[in-house]
Order: sequence, then structure tokens, then C-alpha cells
Amino acid sequence: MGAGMNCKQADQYIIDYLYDGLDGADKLAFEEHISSCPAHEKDVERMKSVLTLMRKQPKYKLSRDSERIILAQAEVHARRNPRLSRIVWNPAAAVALVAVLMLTVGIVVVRDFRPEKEELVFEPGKPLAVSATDEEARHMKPDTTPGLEKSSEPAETQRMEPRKKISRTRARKKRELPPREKKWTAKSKDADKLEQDRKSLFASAPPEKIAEREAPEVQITDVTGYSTQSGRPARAPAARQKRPETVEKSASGLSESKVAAEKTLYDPQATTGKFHMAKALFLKNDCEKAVTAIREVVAAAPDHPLAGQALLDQASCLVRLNRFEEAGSVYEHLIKDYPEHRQEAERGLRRIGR
Amino acid sequence: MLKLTTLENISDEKLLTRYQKGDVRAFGVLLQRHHKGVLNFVYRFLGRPEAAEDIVQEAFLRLVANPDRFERRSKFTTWLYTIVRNLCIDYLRKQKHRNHLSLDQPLNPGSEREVAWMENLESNQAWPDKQTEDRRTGEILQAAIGRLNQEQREVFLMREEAAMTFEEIARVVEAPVNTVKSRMRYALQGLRSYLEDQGIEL
Repeated sequence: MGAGMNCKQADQYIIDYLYDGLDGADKLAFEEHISSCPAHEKDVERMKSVLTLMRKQPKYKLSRDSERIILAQAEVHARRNPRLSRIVWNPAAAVALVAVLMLTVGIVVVRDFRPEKEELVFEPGKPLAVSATDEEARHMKPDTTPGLEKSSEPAETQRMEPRKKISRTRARKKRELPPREKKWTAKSKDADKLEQDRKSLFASAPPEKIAEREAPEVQITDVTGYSTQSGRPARAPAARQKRPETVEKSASGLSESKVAAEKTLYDPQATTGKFHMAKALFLKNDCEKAVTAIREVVAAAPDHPLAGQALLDQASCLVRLNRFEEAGSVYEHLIKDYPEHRQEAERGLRRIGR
Repeated sequence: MLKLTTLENISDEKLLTRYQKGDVRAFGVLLQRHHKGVLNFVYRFLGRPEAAEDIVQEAFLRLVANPDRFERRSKFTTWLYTIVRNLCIDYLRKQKHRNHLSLDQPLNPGSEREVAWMENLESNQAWPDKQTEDRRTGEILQAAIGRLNQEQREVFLMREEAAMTFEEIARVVEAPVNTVKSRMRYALQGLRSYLEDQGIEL
């Protein structure tokens, strides 16, 4: 550029000057200009001040959780076949992939459309009918519950009308019946015989053995504290308090009696205190203890107003412990049963790449 | 240790190649090298810490999942910031529809979100000491950045937070280098003007 730089040219060079991008001659010309042009001199000084101010601002770094999640995902992808992502670009492979996916989806859909073991068939204007399938249907006696009538149609026929079927719980709600104590009251002849055999056997057994045998059926839960029996989280919000007889057992060793005691001695104030204790553990970053404490207190009071937040904390702890699968289960549970935390849970799921 | 030193000395592009071959440590070095720049870029660009963390994670997860999409003729940073910029623009578009808070809204002092974010401060150089004046200046500066138009804001932040050259920025925003420099000049003038209006001495 050389000597004699005017204001218009100086405007073009000002950024290069600020970032030291001008070579010797241009830099000299620019400096000459600003020494004789107060407006540009002031401009340069102020811009430098803005940059200085910007560079003085605190810098942030990624949280450890995020770093761990990213690195864990990197490891997962590195372990896979490195050529996997290229399959998408190969037309033949892409067609094969789509075919496999469709087949998988087809299988899942077919499995999902299979009716449950017992379902109520609801047809407007007709009494409710129970549909029992397969062997069980043949051994059942008619249910004596008023208003319930065993369907005489074969199970296969009823499968053809999935829209008219509603779940037992929903049907019960619709008809405002009290919650059932047992799953099925009818017994087969074989069952009666088995019961007699059992009584005669216990008559000769020591009392502790009998107590052992009479112990309620334990619903096994996974380490996150949610039932794995149905392959889904244990319960819907409305059903949370309606199963006093259900005893859960967690992998952390939470005893059945303890949970049962928690449920029967539900003291709102004490429970709130426990939630706060669990929160304190979470804030202290004592993740192992926080996970256990939250599991216990949420199992005892799933409807407590703090339960959802506690589960979010539990999921965070699990992420910090690199237990992503369990964290995923907790987030899914939150999405299903705690709609007020759905957004945060979905974000959590995204963070762990699910 | 020797291995790590070697990894830290090699270029981004070579590290990515190593990751494509299954070397996760190479990716770890890339992450360490760039996460801070990306996070600060996104935070300043959007003005929202919670979204910044999510977007940075999303960007790196995309990179992790599709390393083969990197075109060897460009630089790694160009590719990375193209992904980040697109995610930011998508986010802003969605927020616009949801009619959320304005970009220049400062953090609520003492809020849970802010406390969590403060934990990630690199050093105790500013806010944690509760130097009210510095903090206020920082908030005004963030507000000033939020008032820039998107084109000026992205250029200014890529240069200042990501330390990219104007040529690299030009490739990311797909504009000529001179246009990028003009945007930078307008951005600095806009910031200066807003800061002076707010009583910040420059």
C-alpha cells in the first residue's frame, strides 16, 4: 500500500492491523495514517479495549459428565467396525440394511399385537367379557365378580378386534370397581388339589419353613429400583400407591421388610427429610450413597413432590459413575411416570446418546 | 507419558485419522484441545449455559459417530465449527418459534443454573470472587454480543473464542475473507458503541 493511506483504505486495514496481519510497509502506512487521523486513532484504541475486555472474561470448560459421556461414546464407536458408517453410502449395503430393519420392525410389531394373557373385551352396550388364552383358559372357573362374564368366543376371534380391547385396569376404572386384591380368583381343579397337598405337607413342616414358604412373592427389580419383570418401568402414577402387597427387592440389598415398613409408615415430614438427605448426598457428590438413598426414598414414596427431582439427581449420579445403562432406565422411567420432568429427562437421554 | 506427548504434538487431522482407526486416546486429545473453544463460542453465541453444554455434547457426538464425513481437503476446526454453527442456528430457529428469552438476557444471579455453570469456570479469576464490577461488565458485554446480528456475532466469536483465522472463518460461514473482516469491524464497532452507552469506560 505504501504511504498516503486515506480513511477509506484505513477502514479496510483496521482489522488486519488489530490482529497483526499487516506486513511491514502496510503496517507503517496504517500507523502513519492513524497518527494524523484522530478519528481512526480513537477507533483503534477503543477496538483494542473491547478486545482486551473480551479476553479478560472468564472461560468455561466442559463438565466432567459431558466429557465422560463423549469419551464413552467415542469408545463405543471405536469398538465397532470402523467401516460401519460407510455402509450407508454403499447402495447394495443400504438396501440390505433397510431390509433387515424392516424385518426387525415387523417382528416387533407382530409381537406387540399379541394379546396379554388375560384381557377384558369391552364392547359398548354389552357386559364386559374376560378373555383368557391358551391352556389357562381351559382350567379357569368362571369369575364370580358381578358384571363379569366369561367370553364364550375363542381367544383367536378376540384377537381380531384389538381396538375393542381395553386393559383390565382401564376397564375397572371405567366401571369404578375397587382395585383387585388378587390377579385371578378362579382356581382350577388341579389348583385345589395342589393347595390340599401343600397344606398336608406344611402340617408336618417346622413353623419357620412354613413362614418361608408363605412369604409373599418378591418382585425383582433391577439396580435402578424399577421392575424388570415386564421389561418396562414398574408402574404408572395412578397405580403407585395401590399395591401395598407388592414387595420390591433392589440389587443394593434393600430388604423387603424395610420397603414394606417404609410404605406402611409413610410419614410425609420424615419422607421429605429423607429426600433432603438424599439431595445433600447428591450435592456432596457422594454418588454411590446418593443413588442408594434416592432409590430407597422413591421406592417408599413415589408420589412425593420431590420424587421426580430426586430421580433426576439419581440419573446424574449414575452418569457420573459411568453407569449409563442404569441412568438411561431412570430417564425413561421419568419420561413415562413423571411428565413434569419429561423435558429434562429427554435431555439427559440425549446426553448419554440414547 | 511419552505416547501422550507425541499425540499432543500431532495435528488435528492426523488425530482424527488415528481415531478413525480406533485410537480413542487420539480423540481424547482432540476433545481436550477444542472443547473449551467450542463451549465458550456456543455459550457466547447463544447466551445460555445449559444449551451450550448440550450443543457441545451433540456436536462432539456427531463427530464421534461420523468421523468418515470429514473431508480431508479442509481443516478439522473448519469441519467442527461448521457442525457447531449449524447446531446453534437450529437451536435459535427453534427458540424463535417457542418465543423464548432474548439472547441478551443475563443469568439470574444465584440461580441454580448459574451456580452449576460457575463450577465449570476455568479459574477463580473473576465471578467467583464476586467482584461485582467485573461481573456487571461481563454481563453488559454478553448483552452487547447478544445484540449483534448473527453474522457479526459468529465471526467475532470464532475469532475471539475459537482463535480461528479469518480464512478459516470464511470457509465456515461460506463468505469471502474481506466480507468476514468487514463483519468483524462492524462487530467491534457495535460492541464498543453499546458498551459506551452502558457507561463502560474503554
